[in-house]
Amino acid sequence: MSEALSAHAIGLSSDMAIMSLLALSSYLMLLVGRVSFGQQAFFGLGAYAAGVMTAMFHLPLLLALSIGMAIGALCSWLLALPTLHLSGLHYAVATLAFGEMARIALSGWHWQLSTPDGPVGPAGIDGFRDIRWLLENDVTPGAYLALTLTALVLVLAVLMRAEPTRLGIALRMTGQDPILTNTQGIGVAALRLFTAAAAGAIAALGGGLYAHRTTYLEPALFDPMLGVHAVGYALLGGLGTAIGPLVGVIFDLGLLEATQLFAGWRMVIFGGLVALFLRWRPRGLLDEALVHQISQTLAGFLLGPSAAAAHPANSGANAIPLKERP
Amino acid sequence: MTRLLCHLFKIVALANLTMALPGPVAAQTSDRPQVGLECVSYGRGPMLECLIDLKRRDGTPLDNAQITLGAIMPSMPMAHTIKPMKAASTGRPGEYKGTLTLEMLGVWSLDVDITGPVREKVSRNLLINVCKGDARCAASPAKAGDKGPEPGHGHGSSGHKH
Amino acid sequence: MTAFLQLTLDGLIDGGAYALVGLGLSLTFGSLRRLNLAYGATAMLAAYCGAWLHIQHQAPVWLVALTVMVAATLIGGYVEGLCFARTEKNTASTDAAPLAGADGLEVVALASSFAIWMQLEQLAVNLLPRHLNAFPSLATEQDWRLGELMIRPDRLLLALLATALTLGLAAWLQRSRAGLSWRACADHRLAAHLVGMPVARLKSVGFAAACALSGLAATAILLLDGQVTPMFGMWVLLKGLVAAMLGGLGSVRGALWGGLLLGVSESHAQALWGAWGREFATYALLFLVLVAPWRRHRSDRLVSGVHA
Repeated sequence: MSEALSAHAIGLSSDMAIMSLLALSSYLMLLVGRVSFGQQAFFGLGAYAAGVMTAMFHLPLLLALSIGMAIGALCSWLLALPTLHLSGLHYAVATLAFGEMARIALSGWHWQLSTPDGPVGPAGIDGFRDIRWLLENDVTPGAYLALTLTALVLVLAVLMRAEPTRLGIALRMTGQDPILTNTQGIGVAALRLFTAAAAGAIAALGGGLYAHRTTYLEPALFDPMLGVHAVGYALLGGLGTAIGPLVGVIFDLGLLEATQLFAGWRMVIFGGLVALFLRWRPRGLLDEALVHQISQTLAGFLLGPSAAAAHPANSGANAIPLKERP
Repeated sequence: MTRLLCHLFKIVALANLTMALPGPVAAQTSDRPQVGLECVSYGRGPMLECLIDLKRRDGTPLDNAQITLGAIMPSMPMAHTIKPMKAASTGRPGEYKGTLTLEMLGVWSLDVDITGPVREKVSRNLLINVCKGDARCAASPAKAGDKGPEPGHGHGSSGHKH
Repeated sequence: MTAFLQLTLDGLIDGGAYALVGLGLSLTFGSLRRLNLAYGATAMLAAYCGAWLHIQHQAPVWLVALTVMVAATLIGGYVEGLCFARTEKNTASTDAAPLAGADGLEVVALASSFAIWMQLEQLAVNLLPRHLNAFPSLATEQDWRLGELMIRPDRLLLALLATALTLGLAAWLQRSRAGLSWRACADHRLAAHLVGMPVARLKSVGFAAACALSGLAATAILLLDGQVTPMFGMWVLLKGLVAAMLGGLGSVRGALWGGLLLGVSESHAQALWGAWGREFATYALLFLVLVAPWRRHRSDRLVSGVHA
């Protein structure tokens, strides 16, 4: 019995880590002021790409995930090109339309190779089964959880490391006021393209990890609700730091879902909370102000009062670096 | 920042090359078991009782397998509302039974996760329909993406349309 | 040739339903200047209330229809209060329409409306957990023949209803005083306020009317289907979005043209590429209309207000 429970816990943690990656992808887009309802498309494309690479070309997992990320980045970049000049509202609807187009395209894609076990490959609306790399290479769920968490930690490290740099600050400026950012000589268009590519890559990484965890994909999994949830996690958890979306994921999947405290009312509570937060705290729980306060407190605690006064704030949003940090 | 990205890129590329060196996994003769799955739904919830039939490639039943049953709704992939349950042997060779408590009717994707003595994971889509009273109704295999008729075309499109 | 005409006719008739659905969304946008993503879920929950009455208490058709419309209005009021009310205070500026891209509040309202979308969908599914739920049916069995063409009379009636409603509403907006005052409030809140119009009340009444209209659309469509599924909410939102955006958000006649265009495109796409193609064509059409180059000079300024 406890075996089943711990397997359940491992599965839940893996899914939370994977969903965090998707939420981080939405978070990146929100940073530059774009509400994107299409991130699930890159999640799905990355999933299918990684699955094809391992199941049909027998490539190793890491390589397949990297290829998936590259494809996700490319597709996201391609989507960002024509939608650069759209207003926030039109952009949201355009990404929603694109997400659906991607899903429908996947449900029409048939490409199968024959193997002794039967055909393997995407079978249109019936989905893509038998992505068995983990089974063939005897990777336990626990080891795979470690891999997934490593990927998540790496992505977080990159994002948080980039926060206080000029790039991170420029991203946030773009989200707050694109016109002002342009007058500073920072190319908003280039930044948006770059962010879109990065967000697509992260979503695709999550998708690839998901594909191997469940060994089975179908296009119906990548419907708009998935992307809507991802944006919801980022908005609830907070846009002040890359940990914000994780807070949102842990709250929904960890607290509401796993504890079954509010069975059947999960979305009512989650949706209500997001709406309430947006009304009184539009930047989410861990917004820039709170992150700044926390980092100040931490600095004071760790370094002592005099050092804390001289220590620049960790939060990129409020820091104006006098020189570029190494 | 760009230096950090360059370092990261080099690490990832190196890791990929190292892993790629041994070459693709050679195709082996298949030792995957054959998994038969039949489920019936009953009661409120509804409850789903599944009978799993495990055979080796050559047809001999596979005993003493560790099987866990799970279910997700394809439209809500990350929802973990269904607690996975272990399937226990019924006594007959190669046959196991497990019961899940579902939340809703509709199309569910059932996972059969076998961890020993062989590793296998199989997914089947099943349509769980309403079952009246104390009866037990068989769950039929559902086409993936079977979400029912689209609004506006409910009673079947007119015959002349396509 | 007959096949082509038949397809076009089918598309036009189906487009009536889409136009009706898009009309409510367009009007909501016109009066609030915000896109209400909870629109589909509102219609679905209201429809579920009607279906519940029908299943549990065998309510007659008129009562079900009334329930759906009232429920839609009430739920819409909840959505408006939670998501859009706060954002209104800040738009009482001399700007006719704040630059959408730079207006963070628009993104916030959009986001909170989708949060409510999730909430309403769950509530609906809690009310009626089954996948197929019965709804009163007024569908006809017989087709009419018009020369070599076949028409389903119930769908034709729906399309005619949609057209009449849209054109009537457009005429009312253009010709009557009440319509004029509604348009004035939607166009330029401050100016309307300065000339003494009860802006908040007009806005709420307008929004309530748009919600009731969405309830009417949902009822009309479901009466022909005889059932409602949990997919209905997403369907209403997506079809309504496409129809409304094709014709221009806020434009009443635009919703009609958008709906008809969508119907015809779907019909022909299905004939060419099957069901897969039909779905794809819907979203491709929407996407192309949004990113089309000739819109670029307009895309940073939302056309404000409601117009015929």
